[in-house]
Amino acid sequence: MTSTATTRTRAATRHHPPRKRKVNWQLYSLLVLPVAWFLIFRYVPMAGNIIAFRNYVPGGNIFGEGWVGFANFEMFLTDPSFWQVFGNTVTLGGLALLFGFPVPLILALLLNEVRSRGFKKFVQTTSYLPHFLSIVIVAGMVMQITSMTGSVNQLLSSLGMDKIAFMQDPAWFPVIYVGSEIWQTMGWGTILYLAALTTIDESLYEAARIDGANRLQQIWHVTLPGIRPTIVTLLILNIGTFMAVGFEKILLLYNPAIYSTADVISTYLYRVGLQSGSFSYAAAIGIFEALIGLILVLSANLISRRTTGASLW
Amino acid sequence: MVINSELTSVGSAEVEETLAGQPVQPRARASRSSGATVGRSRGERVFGVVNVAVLLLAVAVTLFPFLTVIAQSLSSEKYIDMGAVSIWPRGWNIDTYKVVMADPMFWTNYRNTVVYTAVATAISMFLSTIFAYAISKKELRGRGFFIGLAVFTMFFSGGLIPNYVLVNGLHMTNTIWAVVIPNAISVFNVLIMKSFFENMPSELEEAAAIDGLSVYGTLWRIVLPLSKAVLATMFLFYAVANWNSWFQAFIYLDRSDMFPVTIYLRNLIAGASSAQTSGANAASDLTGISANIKAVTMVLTVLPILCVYPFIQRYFVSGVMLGSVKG
Amino acid sequence: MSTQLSRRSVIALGLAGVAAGVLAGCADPADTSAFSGKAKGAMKELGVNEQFTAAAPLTFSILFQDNPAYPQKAGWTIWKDITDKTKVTLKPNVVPYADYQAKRSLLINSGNAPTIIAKTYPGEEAQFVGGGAILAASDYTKYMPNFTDKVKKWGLDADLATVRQADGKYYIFPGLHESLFLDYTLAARTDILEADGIDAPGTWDEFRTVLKKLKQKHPEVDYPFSDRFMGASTLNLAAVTYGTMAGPNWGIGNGLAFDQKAKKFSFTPASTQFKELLQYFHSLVDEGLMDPESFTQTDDQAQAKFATGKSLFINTNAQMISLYRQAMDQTLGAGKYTVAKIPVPSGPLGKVVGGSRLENGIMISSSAAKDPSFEALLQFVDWMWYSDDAQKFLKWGEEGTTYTEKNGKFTLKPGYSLKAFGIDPAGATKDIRLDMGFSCGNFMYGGTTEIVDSTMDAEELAWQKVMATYKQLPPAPGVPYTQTQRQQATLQQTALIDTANTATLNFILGKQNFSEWNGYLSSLKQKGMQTYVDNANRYYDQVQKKLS
Repeated sequence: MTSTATTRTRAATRHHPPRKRKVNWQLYSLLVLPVAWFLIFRYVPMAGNIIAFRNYVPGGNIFGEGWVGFANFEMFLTDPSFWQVFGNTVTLGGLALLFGFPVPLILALLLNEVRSRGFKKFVQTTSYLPHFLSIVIVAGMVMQITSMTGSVNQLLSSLGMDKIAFMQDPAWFPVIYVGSEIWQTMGWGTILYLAALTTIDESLYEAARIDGANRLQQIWHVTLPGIRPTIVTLLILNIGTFMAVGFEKILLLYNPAIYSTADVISTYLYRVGLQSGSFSYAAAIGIFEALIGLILVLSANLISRRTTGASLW
Repeated sequence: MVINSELTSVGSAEVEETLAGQPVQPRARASRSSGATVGRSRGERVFGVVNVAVLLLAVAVTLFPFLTVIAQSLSSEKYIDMGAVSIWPRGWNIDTYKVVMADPMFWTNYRNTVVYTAVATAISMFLSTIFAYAISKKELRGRGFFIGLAVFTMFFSGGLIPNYVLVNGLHMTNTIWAVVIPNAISVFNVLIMKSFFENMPSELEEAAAIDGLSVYGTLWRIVLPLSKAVLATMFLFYAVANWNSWFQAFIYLDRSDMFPVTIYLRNLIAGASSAQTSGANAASDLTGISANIKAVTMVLTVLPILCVYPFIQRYFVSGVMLGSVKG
Repeated sequence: MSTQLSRRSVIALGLAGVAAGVLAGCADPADTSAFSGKAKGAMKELGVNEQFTAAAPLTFSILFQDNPAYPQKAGWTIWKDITDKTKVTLKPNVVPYADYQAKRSLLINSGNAPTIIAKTYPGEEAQFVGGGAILAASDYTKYMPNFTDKVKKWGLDADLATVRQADGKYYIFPGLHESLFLDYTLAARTDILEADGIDAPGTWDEFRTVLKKLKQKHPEVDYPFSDRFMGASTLNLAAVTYGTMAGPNWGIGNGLAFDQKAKKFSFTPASTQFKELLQYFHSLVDEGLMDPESFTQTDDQAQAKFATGKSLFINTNAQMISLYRQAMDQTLGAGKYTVAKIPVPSGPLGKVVGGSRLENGIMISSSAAKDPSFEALLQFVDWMWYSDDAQKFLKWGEEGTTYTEKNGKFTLKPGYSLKAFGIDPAGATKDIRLDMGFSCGNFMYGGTTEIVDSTMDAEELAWQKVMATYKQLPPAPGVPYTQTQRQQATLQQTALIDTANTATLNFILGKQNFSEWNGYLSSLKQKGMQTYVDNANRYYDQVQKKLS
């Protein structure tokens, strides 16, 4: 490691300023098309967010009909219904992150330890199948499994326990939601980790084994540090986007009996918007959520930089 | 000069060996596994068994529902209604497959999906890779600004109507461009790629610079060949996302002969299910779409894209850096 | 941005069109000077039930909902048939059924909506009123003889009042029914009722007794009644007979019941009738007569239970009955069962039904008012959606080619089928809906009783006849909100209705005891129920004063 560092500094001092400028120009040229894309297709439409501060009338001017200042923000900040669904969004998103983040990583590590390539390929391939099932079919399956005559309740009664009405008890919804999220995304998430695992130098394992490390110690001292940049990047990004809970899945699964834990911001806005097209209100809430996400990403990034040294910037 | 050829020879050797289906680094691999067989402790054996058990459980949980859908697609409707179909088809029925595949609109839409996916993935890969590479270079001035530019868009967006007005104003509606360009770059993917590029030893590129390679040359001839794993992953992610996407096409296309097959599928499945929650108006309209038809359409739509991953698995090869920085 | 400019100019022109219409209204009704410059292709005069033929070929764009049960295909002849008859070519902008509302809203909001926006249910047009994107229909219906004739003949003023907005106008061209169209009720396993010597229930109390008897006699059946639509349709049916409104997404609506005598709104989920309704259903669940899962299961699950004989009653409409029969032919065997619609059970209010005679219809983009063929457009719409001939044509096809009519009875000619309504004679090669596009949901709803009944079989007609003896309660008027008022009210409404819906399930399923009813009432008060009701009454009174 030290030898590489010195090599780097030695090479750096050998650089001629003209070549560096030329390199930069070519690098900048790579940025032209993507930045143009960002500006046109991402930043230009952002002007539409202005309707959060104006009164948007459906079918009228797309930038709204007049300034209302922070009225929309006040409306939702003082609305207890909003805070209820905000709480649910945070809870569901947080639980999905807490329990869902480690699963693909663990699965990838376990797969990495499998000796038979055939078995490894088989498990990899089947584990990502749920990702491809249409969300409507997944919702139907979840309703089926959790019904009074479904597999789970059959199992419970065969074990001598009482049947549970899962879809009518608000307490169970987070479990059902997070469980189905993990199930649907775990195999897919492993793909990235498996790709990252291939970048680890094999000779490091050899060295560790020679030093007497067992499997678990090898994982701890070689594997995990090797894929740390990927883990950290994913963690930071997932923390930032944790409030984007699946709108459609919840819409298909929820019912009034479980609104108290199942209703999230997006489904609430859907019900509100069905009759009134309250785009200004939705835009104001959108800005609020975006700010939260941005703050979370920046904070997570800062913490990560202080503790592990890895960071997005 | 020496380093260059060594790199390329390592690169091609590794590809050849993978194509032949042989393990990439026989020496390195054997050392791990041979080490394992020789000195395998009881703890390691237990770990191995538990590992396999856990993985088999994961397989059961993920494979089972998928097999159920396939079984439903091959079963007669009456058995599905009775709830008698689990992973084996009952009342063998391939007529629905024939009927769905006989619908010319299905094939038109299918062809659209293939074209959209191919074009969109190519554009996305191109833009994302050059952007990720550029921002992964620490010597880029204003690097933080560009990264921030991208990250900011992960949270703030303009909403549906401004985007529609923009695309419409650019005269892209009802063309393929409305489907493949507005969502071309996923910042998530870009940041992942960036972290892979950053993780590459810089000696390689410095050596290439000394050799007189331009930035483009370095990227094309050094960096990309050594990034096969992440490129393959990103290709897979984009391809699947584009294959499954329906919303872009739904809002920007007005003609059913331009729709991708995912809209066809969604109309079938989601349309039928929205009736139950949308009230009397919706329910009066909809005559039932059988579970059998839904399953068939789903299987037909999903099958091709499922096959992409096993195809690209060969690029998930380890030890790409072996030998490249020795000495 | 250029689109912004065109948006503003559209609004300006739309308003100008309205002003012109108002001015024209002051003159002789037959005076069409309002259409000067916009009479391209129009007929000089179009009378009631006259065939509309454009004086010059015209094209209108239409937003068309594509139903997956009969997808729009290239082989559909209906488009050409319309052009042959009227010289008007309709250019459909095909939108899939799933997410139709989202796309419609997007197109209208971005100023790109087609001229005719089909499949709009009364109430859905309300949100677009304030922005000026859609035409004020009431300003132009005076130029539509078929429409005005039907409104007068069938006395639809009270029904139209349900869609009048704050300015007293209505913005939708609704489908019109001569008689209230009823479709939903309970389907029963009549073979089992007969075998057990039980009569079909006439009231909800009798329904409970019937279920009790069935439960005793059939221990193998889990629950004699397992509902679909999450119980909402049944709740709606029963609520009307109890004098209230209930049923998430189906009957509860905005929760405002209207006292016709006092002309006042009240929030009905807080009423004693609502409580009695919930107590009734709670008794069904409590005594093990109704499957508690009715309220949360998918339709497929409910249907499967009924089709396999695990339940004996289920909610249904006419089309679904034939679907149940198809399924049960497979699961139970043809001839081994009978299933039929029973008349809707009556409640404390006796044999009553509610609802309005308005049906889904169309909106017209306000940009059409500046189109040179505007007059022809109105005439075309009048013919197509409101004349008897057009409705027969759109439902059945060409007389003499696809169908024949005798004494009000419609019969398909040999070789044609209409499977959706159970008409599938042997040897049929073409389905007039699937292959030709007739009986399509975008055009076919509403009309004279004869036309509406024409697709019904004898069994359904008998049921309709019984239901026609029920007293029809007048529909509650809509609350005439302005744009700002509506946005405020929507937030309150969502909170109040959510509470009511949650409470509905909680009380019925026994998760909350009726002794806690006052707690529920105070939670409603806390969520602003009084303000919501007071506002509704205030706005209604204001508009009433303005109109008189």
